[in-house]
Amino acid sequence: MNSATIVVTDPTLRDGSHACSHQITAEQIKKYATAVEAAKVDYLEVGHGNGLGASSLQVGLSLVPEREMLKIARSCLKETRLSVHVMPGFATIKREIAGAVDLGVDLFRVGSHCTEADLTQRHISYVRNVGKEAWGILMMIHMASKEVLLEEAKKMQSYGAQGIVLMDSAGASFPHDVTQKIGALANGLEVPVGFHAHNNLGLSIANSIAALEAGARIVDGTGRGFGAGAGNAPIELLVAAMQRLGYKFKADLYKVLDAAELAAELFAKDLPVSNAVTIVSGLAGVFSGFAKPVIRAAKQMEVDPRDIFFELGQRKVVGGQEDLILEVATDLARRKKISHLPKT
Amino acid sequence: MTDRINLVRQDAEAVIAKGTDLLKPLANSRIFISGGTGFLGIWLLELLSVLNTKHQFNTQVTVFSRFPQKFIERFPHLGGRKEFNFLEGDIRYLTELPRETDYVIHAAALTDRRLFASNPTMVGDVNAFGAIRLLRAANLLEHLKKVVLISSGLVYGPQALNIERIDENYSSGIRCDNANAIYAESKRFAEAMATSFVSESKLPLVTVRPFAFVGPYQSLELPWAVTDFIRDSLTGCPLKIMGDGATVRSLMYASDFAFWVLAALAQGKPRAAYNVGSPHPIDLFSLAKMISQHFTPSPDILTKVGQSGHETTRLVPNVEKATRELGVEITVPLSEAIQKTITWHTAK
Repeated sequence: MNSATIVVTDPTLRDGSHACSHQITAEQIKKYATAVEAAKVDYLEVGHGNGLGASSLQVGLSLVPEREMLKIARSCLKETRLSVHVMPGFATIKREIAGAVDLGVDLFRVGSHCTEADLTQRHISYVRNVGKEAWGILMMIHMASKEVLLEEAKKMQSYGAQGIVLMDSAGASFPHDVTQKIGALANGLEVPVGFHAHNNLGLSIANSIAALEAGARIVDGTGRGFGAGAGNAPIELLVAAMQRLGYKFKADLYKVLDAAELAAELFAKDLPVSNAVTIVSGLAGVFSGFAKPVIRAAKQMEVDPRDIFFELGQRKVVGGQEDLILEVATDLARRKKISHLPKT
Repeated sequence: MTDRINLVRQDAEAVIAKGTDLLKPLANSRIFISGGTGFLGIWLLELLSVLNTKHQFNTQVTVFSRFPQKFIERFPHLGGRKEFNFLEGDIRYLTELPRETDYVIHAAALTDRRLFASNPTMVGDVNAFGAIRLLRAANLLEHLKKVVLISSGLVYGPQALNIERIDENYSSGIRCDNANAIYAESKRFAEAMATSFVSESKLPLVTVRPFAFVGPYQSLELPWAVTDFIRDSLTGCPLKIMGDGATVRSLMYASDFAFWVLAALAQGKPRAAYNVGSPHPIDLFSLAKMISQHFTPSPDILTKVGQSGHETTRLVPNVEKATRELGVEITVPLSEAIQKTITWHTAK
């Protein structure tokens, strides 16, 4: 077992944004951030589901403007550090990142698709140069081998990333995948390695523990699993399991349990559940955050949302390509119509 | 900028004052410097401008660079000097050198560690094949007296932990099965090609193998331990060491680096290779402590923030050959080098 102190990151107020179509309220941020601070969780991540600068008609408008979200969270945090998710393409350096630095964000988790780490160089360098912490995030890790992930992670490390987190964005990984991939990074990198799970196949905790056993020193969990698709690894279960297994961490178990109870209350109507769509999303290897727009498109075009997911999986669609959902649904509807035409 | 220029000028004058005679063969000569606007290049120009201004060397310099205009605009105190002629070009496509060239310093290379991971094929292309283009062009010169090839201390492969310093005959082999290996491998290949030129054409070639450096003009964006520590101290962040701080390096001040390279050009024996760097080892924890002492309040130093299996490494050169054959010495001790570098970064 890893004897190092495990860093726990809570992206409830960022990943959960997907679960409620980006309608997290100011009150929810204030209450949950206060609970996380009390629980001494290392980092709280806040913002639009797709990160800084992503609030848009294409991927969904945040109810509360980004700056406001960060200001509210900042005012509630002292020991717990404030983190944001950054995806080059959504977040620009001069506008969003510099703005977030001014608002007192401590950690910038700069992410890219798992084979496109090159895109993060300027963002990571900028963050490091202004004296803030930068981690590299590789998303959709089921789409790359451990060798490719290590190569990409090394790029981020060379840009100055002080931690690398693998995100199982589609919840498509099994524990043995996680063991191999986290193990490769833990052995091949100098900086700490982390894991961010999704629960599409009901494996979020098993995968997170596999990551820790393979050498991860950072782990993500959200209150009641409030996150995209079938949700993330519930932080209360994760911390409980870590305590039971003897891992060292800073967070207070009881207070984490309290925060999770609060999450259940605050986000009651949008808490993720495992259902046909999220399971298929995991099987198809499609980004969990697509669940809501897929269901909407399926209703609109009168097609089976599960078919949309499998077709998106065939096309290897990744986060940021949300506009393809409707195109796929339309295509499926057209094919369905043709197949129902009488044969002449 | 004026304060910064003055600080560098003082350093250049100080190092030249201690060894002007060693560089006399360079007086009234024409030098071609490839990669003349990089970290080493700019320091070479600072020293050469002092030699011309204060010691009447009358040395003409052709500075070959990909972006000379930017350099001239950014550093007008060097860019505006009449004896410096700037030539724009990419070393990969170099075909000829100015006909009257007496001396060549080949310093053009991609040394940014971020590129080793992101664009390793370009690193290999520029460092290995760029060197071949330069050597071919140098081979055609009628008056050529000497070529200095700037190689790297990494050509030796990893230093065994039980060896205090590595000399010019050390070799532990380089692993070539990951993209990050390209830098050391490209430098090693460039050296092998240079040796072949010497063998075939009797090219008067001296090889310099630099180790690690610190000083003004070094970008703090580079993710090296010393640049990380200085940058994080300047921004009030804790200094983070991935391992336990036992990794050992040695750091030479920039003015000494440039002087030793000029000494290799003036005094180096053809066919010889020289280590260039500081022989004084320092572990990363002590380095972080040394840097942190210059700031109030002193930033925290955090160790073991990386993966637990973080490897301890050592890289320290034996420079007895250079001191003996080139007549050079370390003139700026590390503590002073750190002080000077921090002062420069905080100056206007």
